Parts: sequence; structure tokens; C-alpha cells
Amino acid sequence: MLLLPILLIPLVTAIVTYFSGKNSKYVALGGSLLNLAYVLFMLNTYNASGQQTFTFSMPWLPYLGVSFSLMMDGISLMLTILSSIVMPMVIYASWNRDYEDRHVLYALMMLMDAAMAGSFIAADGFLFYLFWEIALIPIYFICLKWGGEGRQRITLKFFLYTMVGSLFMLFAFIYLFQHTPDKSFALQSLYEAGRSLPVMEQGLVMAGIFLAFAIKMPIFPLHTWQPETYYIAPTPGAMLLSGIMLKMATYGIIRWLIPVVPLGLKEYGIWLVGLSVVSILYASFISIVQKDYKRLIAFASIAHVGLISAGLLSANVRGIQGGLVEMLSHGINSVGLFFVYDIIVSRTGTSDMDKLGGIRSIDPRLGFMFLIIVLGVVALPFTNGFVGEFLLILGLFEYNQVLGAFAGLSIILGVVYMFRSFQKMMLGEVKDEALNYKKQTNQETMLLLLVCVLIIGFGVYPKPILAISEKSVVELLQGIAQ
Amino acid sequence: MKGLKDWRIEGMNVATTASNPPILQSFNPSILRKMTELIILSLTGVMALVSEFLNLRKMLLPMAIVALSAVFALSYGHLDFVEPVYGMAQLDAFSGKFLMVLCALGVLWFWGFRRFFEEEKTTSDYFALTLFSFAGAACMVSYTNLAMLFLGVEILSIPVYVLAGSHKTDVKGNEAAFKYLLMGAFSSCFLLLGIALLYGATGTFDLAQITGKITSLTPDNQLLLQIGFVLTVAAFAFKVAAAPFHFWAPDVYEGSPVPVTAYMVTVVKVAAFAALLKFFQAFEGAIPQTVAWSVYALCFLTLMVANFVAASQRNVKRLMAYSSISHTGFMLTGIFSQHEGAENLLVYYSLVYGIASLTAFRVLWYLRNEVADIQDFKGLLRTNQLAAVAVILAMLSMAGIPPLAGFIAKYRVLAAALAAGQGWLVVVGILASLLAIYYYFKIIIVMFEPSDAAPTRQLKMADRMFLYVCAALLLGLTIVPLV
Repeated sequence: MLLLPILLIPLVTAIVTYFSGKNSKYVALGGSLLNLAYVLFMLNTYNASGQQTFTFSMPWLPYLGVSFSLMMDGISLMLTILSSIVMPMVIYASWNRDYEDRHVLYALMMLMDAAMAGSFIAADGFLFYLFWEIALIPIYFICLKWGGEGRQRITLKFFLYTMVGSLFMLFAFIYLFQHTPDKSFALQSLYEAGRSLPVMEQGLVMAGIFLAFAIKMPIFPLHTWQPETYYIAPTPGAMLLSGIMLKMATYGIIRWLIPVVPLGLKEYGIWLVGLSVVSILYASFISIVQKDYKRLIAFASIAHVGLISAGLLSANVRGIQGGLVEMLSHGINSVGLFFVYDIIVSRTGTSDMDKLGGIRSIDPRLGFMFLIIVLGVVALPFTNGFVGEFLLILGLFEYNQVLGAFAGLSIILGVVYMFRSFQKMMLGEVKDEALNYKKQTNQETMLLLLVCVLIIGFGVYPKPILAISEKSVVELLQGIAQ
Repeated sequence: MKGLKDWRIEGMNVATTASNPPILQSFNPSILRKMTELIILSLTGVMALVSEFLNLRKMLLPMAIVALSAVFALSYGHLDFVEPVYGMAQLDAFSGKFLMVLCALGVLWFWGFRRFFEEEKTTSDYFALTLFSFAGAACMVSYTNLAMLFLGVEILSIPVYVLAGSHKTDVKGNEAAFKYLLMGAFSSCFLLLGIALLYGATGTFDLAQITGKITSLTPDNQLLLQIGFVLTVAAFAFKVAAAPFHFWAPDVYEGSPVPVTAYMVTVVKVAAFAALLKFFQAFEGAIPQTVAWSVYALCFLTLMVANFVAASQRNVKRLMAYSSISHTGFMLTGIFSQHEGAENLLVYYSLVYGIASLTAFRVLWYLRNEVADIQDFKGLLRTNQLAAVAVILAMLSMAGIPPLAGFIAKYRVLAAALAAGQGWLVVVGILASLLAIYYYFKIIIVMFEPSDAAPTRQLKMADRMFLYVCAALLLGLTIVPLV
């Protein structure tokens, strides 16, 4: 029963927000803060009970072998914390911006939050698929209604792309379902079914499931929807997409890929890791030559997610733990990066880096905070990015040294493109577009300050974060080893 | 030579068996109990006719809704209670479930399209026609005798031929009515010929007896049976508009008034499907492979043709017609592949599909009565948010996108096909669904486009409630699937 409020709080908030008209932003923020408080309470309960897994189950569609089962262990909790921290930040980021029908915007955002939270705690393959797809609908409409030029075509491409990918996941689940002894989609049944398959079939199932995740994250060469979609998405939409939504896929790797097909992963996993590393390098190089800041963030996101994916797929404790921490950091840093974009665009109307420059000399506070975010993104020690990326590369190195070395390049390349963006926008001469630049408001400072505090706080003292999921990760990997 | 006394055809023992003396000779009150549903529907229809001079016109809508609700309640009683009706029909769980769906859709239809009756001078005629066709639908879902099936089909269809042409001055409406009548006559021919051949092969009209005799037929009769089966299925294919027997559907759906189209794609289609399922179940396991393949070819063609053609439509009514044909494909797939529990599958699919269709057609009717271009939806989100959201939900449901009930419905169909070993049909179904996303989303995207049009007239309270209820059902049927 403890798990239901994680779904219900955002859901009820969404409904109330929709009907609250002009007060919608207060309602949405209040609801998301309530959600955060509840998740922290869950964290406390979880630790106090000696890290016992929470479960909840009730029958739903018996003739399809589907039950409404939820579970939350350390891994799920980590992701739930991420979404509940990021959500209020996203809402606060759009506090003083003009969006028409903002009650609808916030309602859709909270709806998406509920779906994403659901996918993090689903313990039934069918249910996971359902939440996975539900999350797509609000963001599709957010991008379609508040998006930029060419949104009709781009959002439809985004929708169809992800839809096709998730169908392959559904195929794989149905295939597993048919091999379950009790004809059920329950997590443990699917695990059993997957592990009992011969290696070759495990490989095929793995390919099907990974395809869905690879499109969502995205991984080269399935990324073509992503830069466009991020580019046209309104800032809150982009924050949700990169801050939380793609973590559904990385979480899926831990919960719905590695334990389901351990043999297949051992045999063919190197291809997936290789693809992820290629994705890192490809996206990093593209980032370096981007002229537009928002596109740069989009490609940077691909690079970081590639690293997360490679580390997770190496299927050892360091890799997975690193992946989990990096998910949290990436979520927070994405919000920071997109918020800086939002601030700059609201002043100058452009995110073309060639037209910007010297903003730091006009608004030193923004320059300073942007620098901290950039440092977090490039994984400087004592920032949150460092903890995750270090563990990820360590895990990957344990798995395969050559690939580990290539993945390590991502940090250097990251420095190149992130510092280049900082240099072009913040330093140098003040260009025309930035002449009438207004300093940031207190609200903007507050949010950026929060991001900076989280970046440094997690970076300096990551132990409590790592402790949340450690036991669950170890248990998960032990389950596979047997 | 048979004697005069044996003029009755075996299996058609309507009135005279030893235990049941002829109805007219000695009135047996059990008839009231046995046929309550039919009597209620027909009597309300007759009441509608006489209401013209009894000045009861205002009472017609409540009367129709009460009648349908009563049938709904009675059908609920039949879910665990079998009531044979003189060897011609049987009220049981099967007929009960379908009658409940039909009544639910009927009530929604009367509710949403009640202005169709207010606008016209011929209110009572329309009411009577609709209710009579409902009586036909009740026959079709409960028949156990092929003669009853034919009667049901005709009673259902003839009023709808008239309704299709109810806008007498509209050329397209007339064309639609005429086309529908001709094609209906064609399909009746097929049906009659099929029934005749089945009778020739087995010597009976009774479904249960046919089932019993299938295995012990001589090869000649076996062939006769197969041809009869295929012809009857073809007749059904006409009625439910399955490719390649679908050519009439887009023209008829486009030309008829929107409420009548909505009636055709929901009530008429569901009744025909129930009858088809019942017919199919009687031949379960006795269909040779070659015939079964022709049936699967029907599914394949319907799914492919409908979706490919729909993707290129600009007229919303035609688009919805092809969308309806594509749903026919899914329903056929469900019927043909699932033997155990096929009726639950079909009941659920019909309900979900029916509600989504009613919602879409209701909003379409609100926008425009005649030819509706896709651009009519432009900016609807701004001009009428509720209508737009309802259409979005309907489209998402029809496209089979979770969490809308349409997803569960499609999933059940495809899971059934997979369990029946028809993996290729599943692939076809999924390709069809993906294509469907494209054209359903075309409508959604248009609604999001900015438009200069001023907010159009508001919907009445009752219509808003209608849309709320439909939207709630489309979401709620996922959470509580009922069957």
C-alpha cells in the first residue's frame, strides 16, 4: 500500500491542476513537493526497515496473465528520487515564463510524472510497457502544443519512432510470456522464462528489448529523432525528456534486460556495449561542431547516456552503481543546462552561439553558476558527474579494457564541447544580441543555486546516494550468477 | 412423396410440437416471459408510430431509453440463465452480453444524437425505425435457427436503408441509401443461398443440429456444406464491410446523415459480428484448412486495404469509414483465432470501438453535418476544448495507444491470434496499427494548429455530459475491463 501514493499523488495533482486555472502553477508545485516529501519518507522507511523491498499486487487482467504488481527496491527508489527531485525543479523553471493554457501544460507534466514513476516501480512486464507508453502521450502533446517550428512533423516522427521501438519490447515480453510456466507477465516469471531459454533465443529477446531502450535513450544509429525533438520542445518538455524520460530506458536495462537474459548478454552483450561506445564518440564529435547551444546539449545528452548504457551493460556492481548515480546527476545537470538555455533565449531570442558572447561580463552570477553546471557535466572531481562517470568507466574497464579506454575519451571530448559553449556564450566581446541583456531574476537565481548545491553536494559526499541502491544491485547480480 | 402433414421443414418447429401447441390456438403466457426483450423493443417501436396522433412525441426519447435500459437489465438476468425460445432463438449468456453492449451503445447513441430526432418533422418514424432495427439486432444475437438469422438480418437492415436516405433532398444521401439497399440485397442473396446449401447438406436449419451432423456427412454433402459456409461468411463480410466486400461502405457512410452513419458503424456492425461469431462457433473445428485460409485471407485483406486507403483520405467521414473497416479486420481476426472466450473478446472490442466511434461522430456532427474535410477540425482545441479532448481520446483509443481501452482490445485480439498460431496475422495487425497511427494523428495534429476561427457555438449541457461519459469510459474500461 505504501507504493500507491507514488502513483496517486502526481495523478491527483494532474487532475487538480487542470481544474485550478490561474493557480495551476502553485498547485503543480505543491503537488510535486508533496510527492518529493513522500518519496523522502519512503527512503526513510526503506532504510529503517533494513532495506526491505516494498511490494504491492492485485489481480487486474487475469485472462492475459497480467496483474497490477508494483515493487520498490533500492534501484527503483533511486529513480523515484530522481523524478521527484527533478519534477519541482522543472515546474519552478517555468515559473515566470508565458505559456498559454499553462494549467494544461502542468497537468500533462504531472500526468507524465505519474507514468514515469509507474514505470520505475512496475513489477509486471505488461504494466511496465503500459506505463512506458503512457509517458509518451503527455510529452507528445506538450511538444505538439507548445513546440517550435516544424513540430507537427518532428513530434510525429518522435512518436512513431518510440512506438515502433517499444513494440519490439512488447514482442520480446510476449515471447517470454509464452515460455513462463504459469503464463504470467510477473517480473519473476519473466526472469525464469528468460533464463531458461537457449543462448541464441536469449540474444534475440535481448535485441528486441534493447531496441526499445536504444531508441528512447537514444543510442546511435537510432538517435535521429532526438536532436530535432529536443530542439523544438518547449524548455519544460526538453527538461522532462532528458531529465527523467530517458532514464526509463536506462532503468529498463537494469530491471528488464540484464536479469532477463543473462546468458544472452554474456554472449552478445559486447555488441551492445560497443554500439554504446560508438554512440558516445559519435555524439561527442557532433557536439563539438554544433553552432546551436540547444542542439549541443541534445548531442551531449546522447554522449552521456551512451556512457551510462555501456556501463550498465557491463553488468558488474561498479558499472550499475555508477550508472544509477550518473542517472541522478544527469537528470539534475540537464535541468541546469536547459534552464541556462531558457534564460539566455528569453533575453536574446537566440541560442546560436556565434551570435552570443560576453554574457558573463553583464551578468556574472549567471556566468558563475553556468560554470559550475558545466564542471558538473564534464565530471570534474567533487562534482556529481565525477562520481557516476568514474564508476561507469571503472566498471566498463573491468568488462573490456579497450572499450573502457575509448569510453574514457568521452570525458576529454566533453570538456572540449562544454567549455567551448561556455567560452562562446559567456566570454569574449558582447555581441549585438546580448546588448540589452537583463540580469537574472531572483527566481532564476534560486533554481540555479539549487542545481549548483546539488551538483557539489552529491559530488563531495556521494556515500548516502550510493548506499541506497548498493544492496539491491548486489542482490540483482547474485540472482544472475546463480 | 411426403404427405401434406409433413409440409413443415425439419428444425423449423416454431409452433407445433407435442409439448407446445400452436401459439394462436391457445395463448400461453410463457411467451411473454420468453420473448420479453423482443416484445419490449417492438412494442416501443409501435408506440412510436402511434405517438404521432397520441401527442406523445416528447415522451419518445425517454421511452426509447427506458426500453433499452429494460432490455439491458433483462439481458443481465440471462447471463447465468438459459431460456430457449421455441427452437428459434435462445437467450443465454452469449445473447445477454451482446444485447447489453448493444443497449449500452444504443442508449449512448440516443443520448448523443437526440437532436437528429428533434430537427425533423418525422420524429416518430425515425424512432420507430431505429427501435425496429434494434429488435432485428436482438434476433441476430440470439438466433439458433438460420431462418431466424435471416429474419433478424432483414429486420435490422430494412429500417437502416430507410434511415440512410432520410435526407430526401440530399443527392449523396439518396445515392447512399440506394447503394446500401442494392448491396444489402446482394448480401441477402448470398445469405439465403448459403443457408439453402447448408440446409441441403444437413437437412436442418437448426445450428445445434448442423453442428451435430457435420462429422457424419457424405463427401458430396461435405462439399455442399463448405460452399454454404463460405457463402454465408461472404454475406456477413458484406454486412460488416470486410474487404473485398467493403466497396459500398465508404460511399454509404459518407452519404448518410452523420447520426445514421454512427448507428451503422456501431449497432449494426456489432449485431452482425455477434451473429457471425455465433455462426462460426457452430462450425468450430469442422472447417477444412482451405476454407479456413480463405477466412484468414479476409482478415489480411481487410486490415491492409482499409489502412492503406485510409491513410490517403482527406474527407473525415470517408476516413472514419475506412477506420471502421480496419476495426472490422481486427474483430474478424479476434473471432477467427480465439475459440475459447471469443465472445468476451468481441464484446469488449465492440464496446470500446463503439464508444470511440460514437464520440468521434458526435463531434464530427457538431462541427458539420455534410461533407467534412479534415481541415474542419483545425484549431478545435482552441474553439472547443472538451470536444477536442474527447476526439483525441477517441482517436488514441482507435489507434490502440495505451492507456486507452482500445489498446487492451487490440492487444487481446493479437494475443488471441498469436495463441492460435497465426503469428503472421499478428505482424499484419501491428503494421496496420502503425499505419493507423498516421491517419488518426493527422486529425489530432490538425486540431492543434492555430486557427482564426472564433469559438463556435457551445455544446449543450447534455452533450457535454455525453462527451465526459464517453471519455471516462474510454479510460475506465482499461482499469476495469468488465469482461
